[in-house]
Amino acid sequence: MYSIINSTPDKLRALASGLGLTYDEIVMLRNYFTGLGRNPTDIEIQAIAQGWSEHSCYKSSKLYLKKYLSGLKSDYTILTMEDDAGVISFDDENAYVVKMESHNHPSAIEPYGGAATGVGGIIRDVLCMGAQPVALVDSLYFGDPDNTEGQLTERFIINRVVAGIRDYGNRVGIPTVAGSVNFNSIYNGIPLVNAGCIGIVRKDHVVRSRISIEGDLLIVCGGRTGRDGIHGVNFASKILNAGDESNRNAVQLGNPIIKEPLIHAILEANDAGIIDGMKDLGGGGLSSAVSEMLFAGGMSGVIELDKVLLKDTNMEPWEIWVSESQERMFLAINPSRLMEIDDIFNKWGIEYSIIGKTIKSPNLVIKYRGEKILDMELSFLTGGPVYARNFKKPELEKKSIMDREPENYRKFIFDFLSKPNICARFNIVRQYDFTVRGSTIVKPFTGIPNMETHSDASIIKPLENSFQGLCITSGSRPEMVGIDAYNGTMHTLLEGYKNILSSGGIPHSIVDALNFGNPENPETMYRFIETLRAISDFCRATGLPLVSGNVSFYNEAEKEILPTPNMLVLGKIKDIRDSKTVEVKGAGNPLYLAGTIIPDLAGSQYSSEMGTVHTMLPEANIKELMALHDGIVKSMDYIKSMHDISGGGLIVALLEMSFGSRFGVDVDVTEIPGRTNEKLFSELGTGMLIEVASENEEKFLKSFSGIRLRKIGMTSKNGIRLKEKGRYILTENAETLRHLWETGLDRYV
Amino acid sequence: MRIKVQIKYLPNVEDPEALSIKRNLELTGYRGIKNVYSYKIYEFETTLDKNDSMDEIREIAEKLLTNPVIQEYKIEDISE
Repeated sequence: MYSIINSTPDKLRALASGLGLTYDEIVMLRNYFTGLGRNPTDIEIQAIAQGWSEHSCYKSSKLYLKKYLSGLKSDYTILTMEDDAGVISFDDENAYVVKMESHNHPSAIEPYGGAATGVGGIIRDVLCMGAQPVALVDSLYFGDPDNTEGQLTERFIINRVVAGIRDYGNRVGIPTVAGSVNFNSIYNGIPLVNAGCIGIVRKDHVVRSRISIEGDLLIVCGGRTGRDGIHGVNFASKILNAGDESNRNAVQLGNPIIKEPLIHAILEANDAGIIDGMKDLGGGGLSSAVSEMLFAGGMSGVIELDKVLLKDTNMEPWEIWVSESQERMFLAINPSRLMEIDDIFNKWGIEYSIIGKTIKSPNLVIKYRGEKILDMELSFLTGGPVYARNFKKPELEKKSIMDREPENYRKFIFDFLSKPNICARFNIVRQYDFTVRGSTIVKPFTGIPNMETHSDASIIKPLENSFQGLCITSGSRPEMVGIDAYNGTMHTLLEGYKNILSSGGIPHSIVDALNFGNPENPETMYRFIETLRAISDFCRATGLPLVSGNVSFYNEAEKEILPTPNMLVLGKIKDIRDSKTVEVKGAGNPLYLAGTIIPDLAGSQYSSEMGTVHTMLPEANIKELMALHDGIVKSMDYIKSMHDISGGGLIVALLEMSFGSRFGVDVDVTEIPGRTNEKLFSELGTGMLIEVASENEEKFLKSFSGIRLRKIGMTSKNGIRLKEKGRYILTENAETLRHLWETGLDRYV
Repeated sequence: MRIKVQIKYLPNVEDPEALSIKRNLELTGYRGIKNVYSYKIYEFETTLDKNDSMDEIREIAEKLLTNPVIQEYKIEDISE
């Protein structure tokens, strides 16, 4: 029993800090219980601490999320920003389900377990909508790989995060098909791990994360509940302190060997129509899942905590209630279906227990060994405070700055290709199984076997009896968002959009995972709001829906991270046999540059290398992007390969097209506006490289309209030749360059 | 000299590999297994003298092989 109703401010303050609440919040609690005329029990206090944490109730972001991101739907979305994941129509009968979430704080403390449980958690978010998970996505942001300061070296963090994703994803049998890896010293010791999952479900089998039927049985199935993972969410809502012993309880490893049969059992039960409502047990454990599912359906429940299956026999009731043990699902079923679900769980070897039932009442009641230990209004428990956090535009002197040119372009390019942010991702991504399930059509790498290059977007074929595919791409441009949150987010989204176009697909939906610093810092809050405003504007301008998302605050150690809105963009392709890939398909084909390369190096890797500090970022041109979309769609039949210009600029895009093939490129950049370094290294704009079949060049030119098109050269038998104003900037054997690019990560992974 | 590094999970960390082994032993009919624990053992052949070798291996164990949040390690000299 906590004594708060007659407590002194000092005692309240101490109690609040121990629970991860603020003083104002504990005063709200005191007033509530003063109204009831009694003190709260342990479990009541702990349940509120969970329910009111930033991670669970989004108290800092809710107001602004609602203002900017609600209503970004379209006529083909089924559920957006309502349940645990977004549900979007795929064809007449089927829908795809998608969600992305951060698992940053656990991964900073224990990279292997943190990353693995991030994957496990996102799979459950998709599974709880009744969907078969079909693809995983991971966007990772690491510090400087040479950094050895801090509790864990950066190399340790990188290798263990990758191992966690590999071991969980590969063992659970869902392919890891797409994602991104960025390096920046700002993430030293505080990696960002954003995991996404895509599932497929028959539209009439979608399960809601709510229950509105009285008398249903409430079931917990899968893993047992233990003392591991207690207070994960409170700790995700705090800033990490090095050497903080109390962080240790929050660490878990994840167990894909339990998860795999659990997925089968849940889907079988769902196919049989047994499940009335379902939610995954993630952050906040039973406390969050039970309260939210009942409250969303206008129900309440009586829970008997003794019925929860435990790993440790000597757990306190509040520990059972808030434990975040992995691999558990929570569902509601009609009592008449108990025998059926019992058969299914037995068949798959899944443990389960009935922990209570739904009732019609405003109050949630929890009993333990016959005694009532919690009796509170669900609306109060799940409500939580909403903050209109202050925001303030950072005062920065804005001035335009020009990047200096390298003394020797050839030497600079050689060096540039092996930089961690530019080089090939083979060492990381080849650890992941990206073909299990046999539905990956365009893999993360494409081209000749053993001579692959990076894909712009991966493509999966989620249904056996249909050629329709889903294109998937994910990433962020933190260096740009750091300069200007609004325009930087726009450019991030624009790049995702281009990635879908260049794979032959049509952009279809967007999911965000927003990683920011401390929301109590008004400048951070300003950047957060600017990001939301950009997402909103982009969605309205392109007509794309924002279907689900996640906010992670407090990503800072000594310094705050760069604002990192990670965008997962999904596209649809009518027939996967029409997919386009990046690598050059033949010699003697004309190469076109469609769209514009903005002659500005702000936010580019080139700028980072040169140490230039930019304070201005040009606007993203969405109208031009729409024109690019139309041009490509109309001329799709004549296009051999496409690659968007992004990280590393035109030069890296050209090289990547060659690296996946045995062919070379012969390019003249004279006509492209800007200085030489801007032409080659700018990462801004709608620029897209297109290889056109030589016999179809005329047809291509006739059908492609509405946006500037420049012929910049031809594909060749071999070799890279790049010239400007009659002078060669680079003439080199593609193999030499490829080797530098391919081995860039060898020192670290 | 030869040095053995033995790594195990801390007592309160769940060991998925051991749990899977235990479960499968039960499925295959072994009835007397109460618990399984998995360990990881590395063996190093070193060239430095005893103290320097031990220091070097300790650093490797701490920096590269383990995370103190979930694991503990034991170093043993096994060169007879």
